[in-house]
Amino acid sequence: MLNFDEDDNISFEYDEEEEEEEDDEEDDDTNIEADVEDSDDDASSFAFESDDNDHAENYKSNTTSNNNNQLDTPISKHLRDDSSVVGCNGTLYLPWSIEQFIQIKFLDALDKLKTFNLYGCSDDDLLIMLQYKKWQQEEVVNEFFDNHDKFYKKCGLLLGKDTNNQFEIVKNFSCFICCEDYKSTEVYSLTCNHQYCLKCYHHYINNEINNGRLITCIEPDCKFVIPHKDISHMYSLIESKHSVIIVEKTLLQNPLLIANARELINSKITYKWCPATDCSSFTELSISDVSCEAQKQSDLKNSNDISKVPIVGCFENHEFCFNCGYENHLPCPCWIVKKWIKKCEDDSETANWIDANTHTCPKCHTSIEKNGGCNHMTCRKCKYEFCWICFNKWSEHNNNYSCNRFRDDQKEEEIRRNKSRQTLERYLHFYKRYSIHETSMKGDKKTLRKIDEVTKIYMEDRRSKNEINNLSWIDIEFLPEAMRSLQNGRKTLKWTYCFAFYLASSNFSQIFETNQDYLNKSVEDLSEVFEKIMDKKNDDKVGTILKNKIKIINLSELILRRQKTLIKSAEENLLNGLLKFEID
Amino acid sequence: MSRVKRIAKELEECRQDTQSGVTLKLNNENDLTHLTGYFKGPPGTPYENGLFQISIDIPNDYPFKPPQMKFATKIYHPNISSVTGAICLNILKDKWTPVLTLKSTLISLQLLLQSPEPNDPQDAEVAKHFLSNKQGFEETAAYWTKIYATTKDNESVNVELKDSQLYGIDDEIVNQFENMGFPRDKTIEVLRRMGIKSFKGVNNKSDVENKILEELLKECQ
Repeated sequence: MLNFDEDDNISFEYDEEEEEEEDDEEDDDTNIEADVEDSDDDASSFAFESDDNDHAENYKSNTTSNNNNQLDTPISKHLRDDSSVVGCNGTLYLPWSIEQFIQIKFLDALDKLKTFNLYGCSDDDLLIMLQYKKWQQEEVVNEFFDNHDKFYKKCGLLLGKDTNNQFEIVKNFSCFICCEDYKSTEVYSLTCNHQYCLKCYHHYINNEINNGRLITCIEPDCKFVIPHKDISHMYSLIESKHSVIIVEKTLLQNPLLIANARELINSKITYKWCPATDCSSFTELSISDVSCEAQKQSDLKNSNDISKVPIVGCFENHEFCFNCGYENHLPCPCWIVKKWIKKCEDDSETANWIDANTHTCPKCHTSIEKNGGCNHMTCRKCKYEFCWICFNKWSEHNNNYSCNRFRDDQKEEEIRRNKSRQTLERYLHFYKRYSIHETSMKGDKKTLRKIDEVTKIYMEDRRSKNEINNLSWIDIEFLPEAMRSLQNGRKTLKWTYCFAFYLASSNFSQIFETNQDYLNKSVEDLSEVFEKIMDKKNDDKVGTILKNKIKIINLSELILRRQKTLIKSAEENLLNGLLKFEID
Repeated sequence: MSRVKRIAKELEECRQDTQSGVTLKLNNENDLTHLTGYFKGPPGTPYENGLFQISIDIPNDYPFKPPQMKFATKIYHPNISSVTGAICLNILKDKWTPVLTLKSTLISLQLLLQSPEPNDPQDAEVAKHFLSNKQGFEETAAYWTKIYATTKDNESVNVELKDSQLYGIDDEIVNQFENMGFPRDKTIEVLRRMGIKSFKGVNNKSDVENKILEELLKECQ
């Protein structure tokens, strides 16, 4: 114990010293860390704890400098309240999840409606009435008191009597729909007593539900509406066929409510789904005047003012452009993005294939696919004979066999004859980089997910062993932040290639390229750090993370700063006309 | 496979039922997804005495998705395409429910022949004809029935196919322009496009004639 106390004290002292020096002397700081580790060698079991402490303290001091930055980051938090979030271009928006939407728009309306104590109405009835009236509880109340018999009928509900909706097991049942004869099977029927087997009912509902409308009895002239609760129950029953336990769905998971919510969200222009893969959240634009917004959007169509691009975030913290529905594509304006995407869709696959599978004839630049084993090629078009490996003339080749040798005096590339060829190559240059960053983004995502897993497992492990002074969430809070900035940095980088493709060359385009280069470097650096952590040979992954903490934090800050500089300067230079797009 | 069982049962039921006047046949004994339905044109309509063939494709999701039906027999009807035979009927689209059967759907088609809905048309040209000149429409529809929907053993099959009558166009108009030197097929095409069937009840006949001339000259350039 004595040993431990000492250690703790020592590290604590160091911390205080560090805090004073930290900002300007990072190198010093890592030295001290190493010292601590060295002195800990004999008390190895405590080595990590004290190390931890160091890092924790380091981090605290680091966050103070980090804070300024955090305020500027596009999305700082996504807590649900009624105040909107401000996007990086000043766009006001609200990130939503489907559950929230159902809770707030549907279930809260239900709760309010319940307070009216409408005579004889069950919760099921109220839900049906609300959905029928598009969740306007005032209208439900009005119409109910206006003529409740008529309203009931319109909603497909039963007048004042108890409903008799049943799930039951029936013997010797033949279902009219699937024409199966069952010895004993589960059937469902509404009050009208039109019975069909559960499988058919489920199939029927599954087909109807995508409209997001209330579902009536299968019988065409029967207007009874199936209550939400029964739909849930039916889904649970069918799903439980594959497992033993029946898991009842809550109203938040009700398939019909979800379908109805989707329908409502789709139909309103102020809502947009997040375009990220597997993301089911959506974002609402906070605007007071819809028509004004439509005007704004049409203005945006050909505008070069990227400070107006409505970048918003979703509930899962993905950023996207509300105008064109793509991911955050800054520094490109929306119309350039559209052009680019179209171009890529038209050309990219072909270009990719040509690039990967063909060489060009050294003489006439026709693309040639090699379909045999021999390397002696003859161009179909110009009859030029050459070697597939070194691209030299075949006749010379035989006498002077040099393509197995490495030559550093490689022949200068021939002058391009063909202008269309040049444009293709130019396009390929940018497209390749664009798509490489896209692939790298996916690779990064994988690495980051693994790191996330490793740290989680590690911490759970420590916690379960009840070790004192274990790693807490605060200690690795920097990780998600860094991961996000890596991802966003790459995204920006990716779009800079689209930007550069359409950019007319000038002195200012060179500045842009320099900025691009800087961003590229720091993104690659951080990506490499993460990759090294996940290297198979690395046994102490968490240790490496903590060791590289400062590096990671600094790099991620650097990325943020460079990203912002790049976008800001692009924005300004576009506005004052120093940067121009060149569209053929 | 509930689909197979269901179709087999529907076929069997249809075979036993001689009352409804609806017949179902498999195109191929080994394939339950392609059928042909037959029914007679309802009496008291221009389709009387006609026998109509419906080609039926059964989707994978049947009976939860509607069968795809279209007229294999050419028919002149506002809700059926005179070119492709496509049918505009709600129960074949969003109002379908699994309780409906092939037989009941064919009966609904028969009913559709009895009561056309020209305000929700599939074939705009036919619908316009129906709304502007019901008698003319009925004559043309009956003519189509005679030509396309009459069985071989019926003696009236040898009616001469007359192109003007096919589109319900007064033969006199066609002759009038043909005599001016315009080709017959072009004249009919222009008249169809302009929606002119006859000069009956037309007040400004010479204006219309001029317009037709203009169109014809454009067409024959």
